[in-house]
Amino acid sequence: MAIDPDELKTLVDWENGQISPRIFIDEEIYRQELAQVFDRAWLFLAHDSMIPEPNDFFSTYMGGDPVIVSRLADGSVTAFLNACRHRGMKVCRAEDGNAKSFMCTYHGWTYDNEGKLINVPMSEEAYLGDLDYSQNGLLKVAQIDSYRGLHFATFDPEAPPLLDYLGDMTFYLDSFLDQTPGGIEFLPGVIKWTIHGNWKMGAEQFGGDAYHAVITHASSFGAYNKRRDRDSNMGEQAALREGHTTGYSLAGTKSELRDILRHEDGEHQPSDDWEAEKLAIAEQRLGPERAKLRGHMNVFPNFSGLPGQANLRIWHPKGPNKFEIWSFTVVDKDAPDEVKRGTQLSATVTEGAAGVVESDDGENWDLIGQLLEQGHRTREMKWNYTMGIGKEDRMHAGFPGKLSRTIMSEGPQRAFYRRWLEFMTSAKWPYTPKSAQAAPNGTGSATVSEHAR
Amino acid sequence: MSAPELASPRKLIHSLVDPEAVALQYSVEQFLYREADLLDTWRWRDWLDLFTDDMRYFMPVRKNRLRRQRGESEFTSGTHMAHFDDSKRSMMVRVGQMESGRHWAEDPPSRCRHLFSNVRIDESVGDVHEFGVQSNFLCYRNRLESEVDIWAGERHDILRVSDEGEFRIASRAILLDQNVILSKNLSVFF
Repeated sequence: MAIDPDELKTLVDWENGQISPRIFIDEEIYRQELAQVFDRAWLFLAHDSMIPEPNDFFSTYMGGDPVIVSRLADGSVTAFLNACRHRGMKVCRAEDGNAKSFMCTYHGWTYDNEGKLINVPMSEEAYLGDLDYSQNGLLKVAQIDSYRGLHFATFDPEAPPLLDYLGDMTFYLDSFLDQTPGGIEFLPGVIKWTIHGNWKMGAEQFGGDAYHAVITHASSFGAYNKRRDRDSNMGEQAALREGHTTGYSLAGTKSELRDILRHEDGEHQPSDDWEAEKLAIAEQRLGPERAKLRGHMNVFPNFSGLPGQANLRIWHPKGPNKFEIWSFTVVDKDAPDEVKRGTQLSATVTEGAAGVVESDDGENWDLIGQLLEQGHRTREMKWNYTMGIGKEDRMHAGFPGKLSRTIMSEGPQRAFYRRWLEFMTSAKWPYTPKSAQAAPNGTGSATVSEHAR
Repeated sequence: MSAPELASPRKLIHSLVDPEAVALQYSVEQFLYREADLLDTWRWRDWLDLFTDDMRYFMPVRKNRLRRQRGESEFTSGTHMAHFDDSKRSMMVRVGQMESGRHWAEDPPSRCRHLFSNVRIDESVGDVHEFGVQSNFLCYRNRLESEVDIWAGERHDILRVSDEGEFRIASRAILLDQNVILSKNLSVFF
């Protein structure tokens, strides 16, 4: 049963920065979210470097649904539901590998790595020739595409093209993905862990919450980044109409914590040489400002990262009050091996379930989840998202989105929940600026001016 | 022909057991119990003193793999991501964080019981003055009002006998028996 759109609009008053935490705990809202958000939006699947060879595969999720991302012999990438057409059992229980086929271990239905049904045990005796293999392949995603090595897919055939969906976010993504000709690669090994909270807590924090770092991370990040105050005007929060959000500093300062952890000898830092070399290349490619961009971001709905640092991640929903973090460590493909090793060491100490920075995030998200699980008043009390309302007016040539006056603002969170509300309440695909530009006389054009602000 | 004389259990044990091995086993187990005590009583700096200066502290990601994939090592290495991949210096950062009074995930600190068992010594492992020790662990964590986590796994240690004749941990690899970590963090040591 669908939730009344007017009720949802009452819960998510993004314009006035008043949001009800019922959207983080309500079972009905969660089920609607799986259908309205995760079944339609473009979701991040995997990076090229995770499945480099023909027949490589990676097991992941789109919303709550298990999906296999598979590279075919011709080098193309496809994705399909990891659920057998016969009884819905997982056909692949390995998290990655190389396989030309997947056999369901229930009755033995076997599919090739394009998802086609290729073998059914005792097919003749059991189905007497009546089973049409061609109608019983694994369910494919409706669309799949990639941006600079990042593969995304959607279950919605009506979704706009990936580039339209990403919209202006490509400007900010490029500052991370396109610093050097080789771009990025993912180091092997996904750090996966569980938070008893709602996935949106992770997405909104990575999308826009520079504010929490000083206190939440007082014992790690905060303890080593004393220059924060001086830098606060050297960056901003950017809120895009597509619901993608980011915040960043352009001061070019590096985390001292990461630096002291990078290499064991402490004296010569191979990463310093590489950073200097890279900066010169990146300035050519991206301009002097974006080459120094360091921050945090979220691609709506659940793909986040730390641009200019070393992390990308997915917030996989596992119920209204449970999510898994799948954290990937990112390096420059062109970087020397010892620099990659240094990044791996510092990322291991700072990020992940055991990371000195990230372990304190878990404390917040998990405990908030407990309060919402058990309480009534705690569910009814609206949360305050008012920071920077009416002050998202910074002009910054070339930098898209509504920009905040300082690096602290909840403009990104408001933009995220505005988009979330649009997905939750509209039967049609929500307004997407790039698609509207491409088809000015197309459907929905009458509402462009209304939506574009 | 007379039947061979059966040894009494006491005599049999005496002939099979090497007193030096028993002494080593006992000393190692006592060392591990002292270590558990330091961890459970939040004396992290004293705990870190049990490690050599050139220590490695490593906890790889455990992967779900089919039997045919098992040839690949469980211990990820090189630039594979791990939960822990620490030197003494980075462990000092971790211990400093524990002591900071602002590490909210461990302040108030977790109540932990580290239980070590199944201690297996392998003297063929390691350099001179070193030997291998494998042990199983169960760590119970109880935190704040009602939070509980239970972690089980195996530790592969290399112990070194110091100049003072004491054991020091030169290397520790921890196999945690979880693929997706089921807790909100791994803010305790193993």
